[in-house]
Amino acid sequence: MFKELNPLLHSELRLAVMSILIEAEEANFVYLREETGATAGNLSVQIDKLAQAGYIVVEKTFQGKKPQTLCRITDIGRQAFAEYVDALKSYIVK
Amino acid sequence: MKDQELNPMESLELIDRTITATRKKLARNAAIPMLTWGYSTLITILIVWFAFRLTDSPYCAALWLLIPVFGLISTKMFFHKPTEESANTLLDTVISKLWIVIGAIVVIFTPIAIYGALDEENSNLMFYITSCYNLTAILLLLGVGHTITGYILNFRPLIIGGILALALIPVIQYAMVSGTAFTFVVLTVIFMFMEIIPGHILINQTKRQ
Repeated sequence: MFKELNPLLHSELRLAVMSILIEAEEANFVYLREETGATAGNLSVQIDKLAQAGYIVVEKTFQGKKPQTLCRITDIGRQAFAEYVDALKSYIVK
Repeated sequence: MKDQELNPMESLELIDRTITATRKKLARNAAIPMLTWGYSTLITILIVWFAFRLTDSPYCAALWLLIPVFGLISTKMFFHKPTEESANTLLDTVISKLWIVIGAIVVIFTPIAIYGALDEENSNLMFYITSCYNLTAILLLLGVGHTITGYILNFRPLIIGGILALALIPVIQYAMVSGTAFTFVVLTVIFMFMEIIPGHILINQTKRQ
């Protein structure tokens, strides 16, 4: 039986962001942009979607005098990611 | 990357690729300081050793201050982490704070250890009391720090290196009291196993992944 794939994570860019944060736990916007190769605008929109779902928290802070946006995965995000990977496996194994 | 749907296989590949790349980058950030500071210490050990052999002057002990000089220069040269990019795990934060504390204590102990060796008139007593005990304290801190870091990272070579450093402290103490060049040999072995070998193993692991 195929499990339903979470539509929020079933997107290349959002999945990449979550994959980075699963490993790194915390990353700033610049790091996410460099690693995903996404435009700043598109990345910002996708991060907002993940934050609204409660999968990540976004913290606006300062590094010295420079503003910095930090993203951190939540427990809900970890759970959702684990369920998504589990669902993917049902497609591959079958 | 764009906001497009992938098929299940592509999704799994993306997850694997992204996690591996992130892990590789974080591991490399841990390995480079090990190597820069390890080699800086090793080069300084050799310089001090040869300086003592050539001059037999207690003032050669001041050359130990080259460690932070070489360490900071080499870290700046080889550690190309862009200042704007930042990714940290909770473990990175714990490890960073651990080494800030250890580094601060080593910075305090080192000049005291060197001063003891520089005092030529009272060199025997001062040397023994300050240099020997301060070097012991520094190696104890470094050994414990590396062992804890190895456990946090679940990286066995670093755990072994740290424990070896702690085990060799009595040997260093004996060598210093005996006044032999064996001290430098033991120090070389300590830093090879505590920093240089684990650093190279970690770098090679990131290249293989």
